[in-house]
Amino acid sequence: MNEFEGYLQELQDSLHGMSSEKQDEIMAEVEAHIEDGLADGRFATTPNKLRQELGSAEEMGRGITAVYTNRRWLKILILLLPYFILQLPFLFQISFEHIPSPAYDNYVTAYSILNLIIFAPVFYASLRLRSFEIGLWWASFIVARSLIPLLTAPIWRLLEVSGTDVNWQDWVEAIAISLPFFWLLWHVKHKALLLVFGTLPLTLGAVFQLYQLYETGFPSPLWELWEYRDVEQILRLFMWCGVVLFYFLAQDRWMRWLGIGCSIYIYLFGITFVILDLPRNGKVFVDILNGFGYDRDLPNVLVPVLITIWVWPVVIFCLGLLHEWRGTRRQPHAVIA
Amino acid sequence: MSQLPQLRKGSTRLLVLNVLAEEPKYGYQIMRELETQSEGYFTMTAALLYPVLHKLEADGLVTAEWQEPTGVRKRKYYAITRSGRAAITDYVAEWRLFMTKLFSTLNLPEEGQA
Repeated sequence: MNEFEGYLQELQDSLHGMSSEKQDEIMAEVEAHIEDGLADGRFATTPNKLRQELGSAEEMGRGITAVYTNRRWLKILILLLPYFILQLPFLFQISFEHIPSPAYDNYVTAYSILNLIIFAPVFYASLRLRSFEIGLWWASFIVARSLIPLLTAPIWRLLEVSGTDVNWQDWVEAIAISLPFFWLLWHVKHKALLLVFGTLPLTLGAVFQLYQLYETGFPSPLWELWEYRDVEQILRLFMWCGVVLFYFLAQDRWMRWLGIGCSIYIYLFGITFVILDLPRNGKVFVDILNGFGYDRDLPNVLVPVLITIWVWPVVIFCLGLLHEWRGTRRQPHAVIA
Repeated sequence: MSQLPQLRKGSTRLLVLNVLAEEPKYGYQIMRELETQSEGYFTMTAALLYPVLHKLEADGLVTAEWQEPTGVRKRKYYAITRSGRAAITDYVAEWRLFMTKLFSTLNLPEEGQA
């Protein structure tokens, strides 16, 4: 393999800009190709002949990079753009409090149908892209944000959101939203660490929700948008976007560890408040996350929580953009014999 | 100047899909199989083959999976999908039409009609 070291190095360099996992996979594939060629007795492949048959390393790298680079940004757009559009009513609601929003005011029907209109084509696009992760992501949203609210709207209205009898809906919704993450953790094992930490903020949110259901008998925030208003939506928006961006942008090792560090930070930050506040007042932190902190004497708690959760994904996103723009020169491939 | 390289390049997707039509194969095997089937007429470099394979995978015409059969080194095997088989039919139809129109435009008899 020594005579191919230069070739592999050149190929490695020309793959710059792709995720490190994909680079490793391509390098392993070409190395297997070279080993097969050297071991192939039928075609009497000499190293020189094999080198000629490989062609230009730069050409191969350019060709493969072109296949993946554009699609990565397309995936990010498919994930994020519809979600931002979807959240616009809530963003306007919090920015201009007195402007009425029809989508907001008729949550169960209008908003669910609006979701469905936006989600369905995005789901179709993700299937066309043959991206199971994105497909599952949007499928879970269709179930959680459109189908369940629409199907259960009559029951929901009948109960007038007054009791705890509707809790089963929250369970179904929580499971629907959680499924993609269980799937990802199971199937993308080499990214497990990244995903575990990347999804911890969501896990934390789910824990809070379950805590509410069991300990306080309080309906879930997702079914109480009317009262919980905007802050919970804004938080949710940034948390989801942060996780998505984290997953797609932090594919380089350097970015991944940075992302993991940020996630650990935010997770410990959240846990700290849970440990400190829950024994004193079971719902303090949950209330803060849901916007009720405004009415209580806890301004010093609310502000850092909000800033952390808002700033974190923005920092990750900016670093990701910077990383994509500048690119990185990676070290020579370690597998070269 | 020969236009053969361009013609070969234009037919690469069809040729690769056709080689995969029988059973899943890995990159080096595809190259050799193509060479054998065409009696050395169609040869391609790895620099041409692998981008095409990855593009076919991204387009959903083939699937790829790392396999390590007992006693054999780990390799990435490519298998044709249903869409890939449909694509072969489409590409063949396109090539047929292209050849027919080319020959009729040049006023030459098609193969088998001379």
